[in-house]
Amino acid sequence: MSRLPERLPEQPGPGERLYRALLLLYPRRFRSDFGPAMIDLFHVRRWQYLSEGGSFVALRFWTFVLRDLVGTALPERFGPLAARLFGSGEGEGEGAPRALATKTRGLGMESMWGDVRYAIRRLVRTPGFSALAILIVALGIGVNSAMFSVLNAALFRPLPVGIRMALGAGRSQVIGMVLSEVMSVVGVGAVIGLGLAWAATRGLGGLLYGVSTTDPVTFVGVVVVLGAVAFLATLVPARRAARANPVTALRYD
Amino acid sequence: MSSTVHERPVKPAVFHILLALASGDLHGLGIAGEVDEATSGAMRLGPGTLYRSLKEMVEVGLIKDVPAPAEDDDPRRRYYAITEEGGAVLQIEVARFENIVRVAQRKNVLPGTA
Repeated sequence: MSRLPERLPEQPGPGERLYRALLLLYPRRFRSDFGPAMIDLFHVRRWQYLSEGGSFVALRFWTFVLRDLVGTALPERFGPLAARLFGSGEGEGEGAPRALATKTRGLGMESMWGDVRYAIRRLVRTPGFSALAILIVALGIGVNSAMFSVLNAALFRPLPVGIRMALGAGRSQVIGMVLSEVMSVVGVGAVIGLGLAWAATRGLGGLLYGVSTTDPVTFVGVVVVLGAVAFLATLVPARRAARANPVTALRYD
Repeated sequence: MSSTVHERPVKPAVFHILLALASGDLHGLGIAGEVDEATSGAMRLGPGTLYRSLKEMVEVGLIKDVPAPAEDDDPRRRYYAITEEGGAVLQIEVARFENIVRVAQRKNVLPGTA
């Protein structure tokens, strides 16, 4: 009845394993309902692409698969949420993806995909804003990794104080030394950060709500809060390190 | 829901699935093959597109799950059948295309007609 092969030889190569892993993008329910059938169709499509041959056949096949996957897994998983996130709704003229999305809910299986395309279009049209958004996300990621390396350094690795203690430094001396070291790093970071923040204020003006870009309370508040966090994050492990037996601490230095 | 469903053209995938089921119940792979054939391979439904469309079409009542015919011995296969609602949508869509073709003929856009 069709030119699709009814059953394909089982060949669980790396391609199928990758596709199985990618199926995790779909919600569990969808996966358990359709997963095996999707893998079957995956094989059929791959067989079709391979038998047609041509240049970059693997690339074309995986482009097809990934487009299909992203275009359906994301709306399947985040459908309503994404509509809320990306639907601008503020009378944005031609886009108005949200109105369309509600009207065609159910059949509009690509409504979220449409929203994403709309968002990308807007990003391309306003490169300054896009650059800023990307910068902010990058900074967020950077801050996270910095926080975790600090956490790691502070909580899981003994501080390098053993040698000082072995040389006769007292507890308070050790704590003071560690604190002053860390706080000077924090201070430098704060100055650099404040400078960057001030430089960014020009671009930020339109994005903030209820805060002026050079609001002194915000600037001071951020510095104080972050400084306090850094201080506590240093004090606790420093006290612990100072209490440790110098011989044990030496072993880690 | 019917009026809202019919306001806009349905997605190409939805249309082709309805068309594939018009001649009888099929399972997912069968639908994919039927669509391949009907479009000479121009429309190749990906796994996600096919099964997500099927799921949503069942939800809005364009198609429904039906028990597999006796001759199919693979218990994993789920068969789908077009509903009355789905048939109506298909008719509206086909009429829309027919209309377009008629206009195109009148304007001599269609090759081989006058």
